[in-house]
Amino acid sequence: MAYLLHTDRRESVAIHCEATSFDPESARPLTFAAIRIRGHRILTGSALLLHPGSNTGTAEAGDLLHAFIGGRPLVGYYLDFSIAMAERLTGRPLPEERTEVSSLYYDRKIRSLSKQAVDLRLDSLVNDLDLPVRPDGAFGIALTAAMAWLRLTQDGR
Amino acid sequence: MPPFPDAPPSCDGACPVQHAMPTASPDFDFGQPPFDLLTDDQRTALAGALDIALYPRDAVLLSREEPTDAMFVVLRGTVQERRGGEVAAVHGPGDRFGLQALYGAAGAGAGGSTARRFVAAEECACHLIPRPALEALAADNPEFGAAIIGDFAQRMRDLAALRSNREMAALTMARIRQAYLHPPLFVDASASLRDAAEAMRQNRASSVLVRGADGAVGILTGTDLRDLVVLDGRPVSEPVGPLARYGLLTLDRDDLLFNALVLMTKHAVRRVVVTENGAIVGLLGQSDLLAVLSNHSQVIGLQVEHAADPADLCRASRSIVELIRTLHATGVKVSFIADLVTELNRRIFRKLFELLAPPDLLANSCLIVMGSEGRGEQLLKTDQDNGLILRDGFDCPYLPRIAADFTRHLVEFGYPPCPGNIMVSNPDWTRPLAGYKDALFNWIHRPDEAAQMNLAIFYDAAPVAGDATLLAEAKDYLLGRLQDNQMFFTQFARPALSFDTPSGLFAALFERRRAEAVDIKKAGIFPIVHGVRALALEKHRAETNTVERIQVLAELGALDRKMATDLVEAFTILSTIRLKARVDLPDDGPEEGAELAVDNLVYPDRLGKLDRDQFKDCLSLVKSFKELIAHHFRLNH
Repeated sequence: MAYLLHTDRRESVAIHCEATSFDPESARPLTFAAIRIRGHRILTGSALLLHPGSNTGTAEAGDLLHAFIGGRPLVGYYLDFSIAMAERLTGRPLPEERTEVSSLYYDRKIRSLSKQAVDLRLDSLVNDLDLPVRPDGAFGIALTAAMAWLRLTQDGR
Repeated sequence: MPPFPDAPPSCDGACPVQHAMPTASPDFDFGQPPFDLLTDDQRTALAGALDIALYPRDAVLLSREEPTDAMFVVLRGTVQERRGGEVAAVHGPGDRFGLQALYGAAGAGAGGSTARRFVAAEECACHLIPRPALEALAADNPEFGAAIIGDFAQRMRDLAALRSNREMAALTMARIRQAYLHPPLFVDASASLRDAAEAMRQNRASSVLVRGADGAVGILTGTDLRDLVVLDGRPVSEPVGPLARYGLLTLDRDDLLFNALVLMTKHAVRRVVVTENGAIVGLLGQSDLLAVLSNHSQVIGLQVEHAADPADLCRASRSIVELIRTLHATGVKVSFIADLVTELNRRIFRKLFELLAPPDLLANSCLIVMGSEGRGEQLLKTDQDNGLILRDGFDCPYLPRIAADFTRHLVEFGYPPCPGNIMVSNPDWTRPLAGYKDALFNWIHRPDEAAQMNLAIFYDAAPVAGDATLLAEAKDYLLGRLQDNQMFFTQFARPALSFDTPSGLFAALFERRRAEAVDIKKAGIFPIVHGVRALALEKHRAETNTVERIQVLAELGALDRKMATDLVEAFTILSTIRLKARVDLPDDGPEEGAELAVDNLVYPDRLGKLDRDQFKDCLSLVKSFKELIAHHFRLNH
């Protein structure tokens, strides 16, 4: 579907990984969620949700994820961790163009709030940006990242 | 890089396994009809197929340049549906749109009503139901499918109704700003009734606004004065303050005129107070409101009347194009546009001729327009078809120069020269009455192709300036020379059949070929115009307008009533489609002086479904009319 429509328009991919721990060296990935973003539209209807080793073999999951991302710029919340996990899964490096939404958010807040500490918790970010989403699970967090990225990049404030 | 105070929740191996089918987190509202018709499984399927889009303020969600592959359901915020710059509808949470673009005409381009755009009025979020998912659900659940399609059908009906009602449409789209406002006339609360009456008389106003002591503003109308003084017998020295009515009906200058009409009707008043940024800027009267529709054309009419030189006329002439666009965009009927444009064009021709011609030429000649201009069916600026009839024995030494100037100025105004050179600047069309009579004699008795055409367009001639009796005399001569000669009329009517009209039996073929353009003039309009012309000429009728001719032919019994009614309707629809094909093309307003050239090609696949069906019906009617003409004039023998 995507190959015909808006081939000229640049897509991005929001990803998130849930894992058994928070240490990229030792954690075992449980769920990968990846969602493409095209223009203002988040393609949740064709999102990728993987449970490596559970519903897909690990190697197969790596190939699927790599193909799904296909060189598109990445977007995420706590993106470094997700990328570390994803690169371990695919065994290949992921695109270099990456946007950490908490960093975008921090940049915006620091401009307006100056002295106060910026609350970077995902729940606070969702409330503050008034996003219509519940940041639950890998899919919910990836979607939240996609929405936050759209809001923070589209209105030039 | 900022720190991460909130690490993702870590689990220790016992995490619940997520669903393979992700569910879009912002829950779709399945309580909203028709989605409440879906079963649980169908809801899950729909939830899994949904996309979500977030729009900043002023983003365009959907326009006709960009075909869509999904139906939109608003989740948050409001979306404005704009037609030709005006807000036609507002969609809030739970409302859906885009189906027409998905299946109907608007997405296909030029054929749609007017350019429709969906624009985010504020930050918006929408669910998008991709077309395959929607179709799968409709197939699975016929009730749901019917509801979705029914919704669509209803909108198409609304659209058709909107188009058929020109006054309503013009009013629903127009703003108060477009109407004339009476300047506000204030008096103090301490002023007497007599002072108020005096102020009204001096300012020729029908009401005054009363500035109360506490800052409140009230109104006192002439009717109030009459009631208070004449009926209630109050002394004219009484102060107006306590007598004025407060709680004014106000509207903003940018409000819709339609709202003003509603407000006036509801409160049975004839005026409302208009504000801008909270300050009173004037009064809108009911009659001014109703005048708005014709206001635009009146302005151009005045420009023409007051023109001091051809340059002034040129400006007025250019604004006709804008007028056509405005009228068409607000849904005004094409016959009304034709009347207006014909009238304005003729005024421009008359004024130009009056500016150029010395008084003795004006008194001794008749400027005529022919062809579609003569019939009053001019929608856009088409080729000039004009001529000058001089009184026998009158001679004007400057005539060639005046005639050349006349034609040249009209070209500058945007009326292209006639390819057949039927123009005042051609001596064949600027000659004495006797010369016209000779020409008519030859056209009738030695018919060839050119003679037939000349006769046809001269029969449609209408006087524009000078002495109209000259044209009347020439036409009397024409009708007097006509014998009831079957051969002549057979020859005259034959061109009505010269072009093919696709339709009827060939409907299937037509469907398949619908990407091919149809020349609407040759296939539809010309056969009607010429067939009707031949019938009218046979009956020696003096009318020039096609619709008038049809009506008079029906009265004479020369045309069956049903056929006459259908012909008028088909002629109107075809003219509308022809105009629309042209006017709808450029999306933005024309740059100054931009012209609307006439293009007769219609692409059925670019028409809306509504127009396409009408188009096909019209063509099949034209087909049967041609059969009637062939039979009547024995063209098949």
